[in-house]
Amino acid sequence: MAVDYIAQLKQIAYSYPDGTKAIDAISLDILRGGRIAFLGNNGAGKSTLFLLLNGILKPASGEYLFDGKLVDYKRKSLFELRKSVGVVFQEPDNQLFAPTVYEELSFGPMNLGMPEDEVRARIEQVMQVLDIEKHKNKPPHLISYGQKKQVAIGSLLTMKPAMLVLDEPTSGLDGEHTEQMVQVLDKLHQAGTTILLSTHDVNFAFEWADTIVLMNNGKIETVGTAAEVFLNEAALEKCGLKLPAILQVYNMIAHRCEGGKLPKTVAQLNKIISDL
Amino acid sequence: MIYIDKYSNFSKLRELNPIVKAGYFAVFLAGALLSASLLFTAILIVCISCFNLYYSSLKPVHYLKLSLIPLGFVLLGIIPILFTEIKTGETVVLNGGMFNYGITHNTLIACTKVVLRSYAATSALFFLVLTTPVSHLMWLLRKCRFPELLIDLTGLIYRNIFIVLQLSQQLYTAQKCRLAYAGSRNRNNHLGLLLSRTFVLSIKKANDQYNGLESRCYNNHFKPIAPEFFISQFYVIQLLLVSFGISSTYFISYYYQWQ
Repeated sequence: MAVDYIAQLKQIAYSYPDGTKAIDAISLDILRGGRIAFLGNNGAGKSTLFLLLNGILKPASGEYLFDGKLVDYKRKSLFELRKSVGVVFQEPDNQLFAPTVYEELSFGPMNLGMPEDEVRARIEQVMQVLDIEKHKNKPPHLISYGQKKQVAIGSLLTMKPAMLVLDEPTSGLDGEHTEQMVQVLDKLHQAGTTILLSTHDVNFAFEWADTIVLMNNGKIETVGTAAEVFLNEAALEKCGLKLPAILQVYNMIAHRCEGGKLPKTVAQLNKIISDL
Repeated sequence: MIYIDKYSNFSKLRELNPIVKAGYFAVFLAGALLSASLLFTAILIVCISCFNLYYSSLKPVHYLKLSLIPLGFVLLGIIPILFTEIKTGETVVLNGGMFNYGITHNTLIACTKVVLRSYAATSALFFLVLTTPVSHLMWLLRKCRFPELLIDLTGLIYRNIFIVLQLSQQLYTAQKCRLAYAGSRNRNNHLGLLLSRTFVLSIKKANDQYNGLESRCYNNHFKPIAPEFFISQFYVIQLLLVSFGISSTYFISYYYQWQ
């Protein structure tokens, strides 16, 4: 069976006007319905890559295929791309501009030219999923940072994108909001949405992602499953990343285990320890 | 920081159709602008203030503080009217001495009228501002066929005011933490740094925000969804009663030539 890629990057490169090479000939295939985490230190090029995925930035060279079609960066092509790829920025204030949360949620679908009734139905659904109904009439400056992040995600969910790209979705969030965010991402994944996110939290990436992409200096250092990437010590060291806490503990007892699957959650680790 | 628009969001009339609220505003404003008598204007101010206090979520002390802001401008504006050349036969309240300028009984009355009228008009405006969120005002402007570009700009500027305010406040706190604004020479220097940095960061924020719009298929035109309102018979009847009350008081004041 042919592999179903939602997006394919072929030798994509991008430099900022001051000459800084942000993305250096990156090639990457993104599986439809996947959960992909991008890890790397600050300035690795994660945020720039995300802007390229939505067509905000145009690559200097290389090809970008979405749904098998080449993105030619013409008006119509960009509209189709942005309809299908939602980007949630790291700083929610960059995304929220409407006078109320409700209007913010309506912005995307109204731009798609959808009928008002359907827009309202989508907003209600999204508000329920994100539990932000009580804030619907408030202006963005009167809600907390965590709630702003939720609204920023909601403003994309009302567009029902096939691929959702989130730039550090859990940064600055407290434990409760992080938990809620993970639950929302899981629901979206179950609904078939392809999710890409960048994070500095190796523990979260290890537990959540199907695929992990390690980036360094605008290049992809390595791509693979969580187990593959986190066993590649050289790549981790190059990107300045540490092993997830669960793996660190597992490594301490690994010599007493008879091989088998790496634990991803505390519960799995606990089971391995109890079985010893 | 207390944001003034917070009150409109918690007002009892928040969900009332803005056209009805604009009706109240028009009646109050007409009363304020047409009033010729001090007593009538004073009654009107009390009436509007009662409405404002009842329907907004504002405490009387806060309302008074809020009223003092425009009142300050009015008081500055009346100075040229208050001081006039004293002519013979006029009742002088305060003589300016050798310059033959001072405050007369007539200028004092004229100034009191201007202050009360302005205060009544401002109170009418407060009614609209304290009970109607910006998104509803924008909807009202759209209904009144205001130019789309102007309304879109209003919305963006409104949002950005708070972003810039927050930004400058964070920078100010960061400066104060490092003992800024200590001497008078430093104060100007630090204020300049604060303003320039706020300006630079605002431009960056504006660019980022434009990216945010572009990423969601923005095509240089906002298509906002209409907010949901209610129209209550009670408020319409109340509006009619208020209109009747204000107009009849106005005619009584006119007929009996109230001062």
